[in-house]
Amino acid sequence: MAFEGRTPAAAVQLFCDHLNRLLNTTLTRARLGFAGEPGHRAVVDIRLKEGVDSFVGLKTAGYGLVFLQLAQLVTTEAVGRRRHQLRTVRYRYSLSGDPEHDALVRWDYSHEQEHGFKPWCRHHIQGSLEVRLPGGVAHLNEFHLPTGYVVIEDIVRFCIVDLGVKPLSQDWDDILRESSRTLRAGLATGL
Amino acid sequence: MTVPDDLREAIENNTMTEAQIRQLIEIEAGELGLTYVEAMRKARAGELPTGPLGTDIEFLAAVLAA
Repeated sequence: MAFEGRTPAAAVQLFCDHLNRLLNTTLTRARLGFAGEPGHRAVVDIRLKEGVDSFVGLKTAGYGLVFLQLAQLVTTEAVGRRRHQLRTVRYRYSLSGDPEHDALVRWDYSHEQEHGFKPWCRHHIQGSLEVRLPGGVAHLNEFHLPTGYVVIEDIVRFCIVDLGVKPLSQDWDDILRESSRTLRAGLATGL
Repeated sequence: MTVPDDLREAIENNTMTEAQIRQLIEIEAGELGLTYVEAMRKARAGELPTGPLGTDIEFLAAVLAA
């Protein structure tokens, strides 16, 4: 399934709807929304109705409250004369102990090498966590540890399995597997 | 974070105008102790905190830059 619509906004809305169904049946009642003109660029991320916060607090098992952010910068491309297909040009998923400070860990992707920066791996993980190396202690932010393309389902799975966030349904694993197949087939990620 | 009703409604309905995106950036920048101009400069330089507030500003700034 490709995320396509008759208008750019319709394609982005379809993507949002898919992710909202996923999130609301597995991890959180928070909703994703988007801002911007999808024909150019739009940011798709969590927008809480009771505020405008772009993050949601998750209660973990034994690690306290962490703040999750899921953000994608998307654009759409015309396919034929009447269809517009979604494309992710950047993503950042992060877990923070405090929304105002650097993330503990974050998964970043940029479709293009960012101008003015070193040519590090475009899919990587960073964060403020300490990393013990033979010669001393560094911070994960000093490196761009390579990853594959990470989909939102992977982050939801991490939160449930590793952080012990209570899932919203018993069949969360099946929901994530099916959604992941749909997303990987549908996103023109430009890997 | 204090948000005007019209901006809140636009966020909920996915209908934010460019002016409202700038307004949201300004509000979020204030939460980080920055002005709009400072936040935009830091966003372009990749110098904002990488927590949720900083990331939101950075991504919204990227939308404006398109």
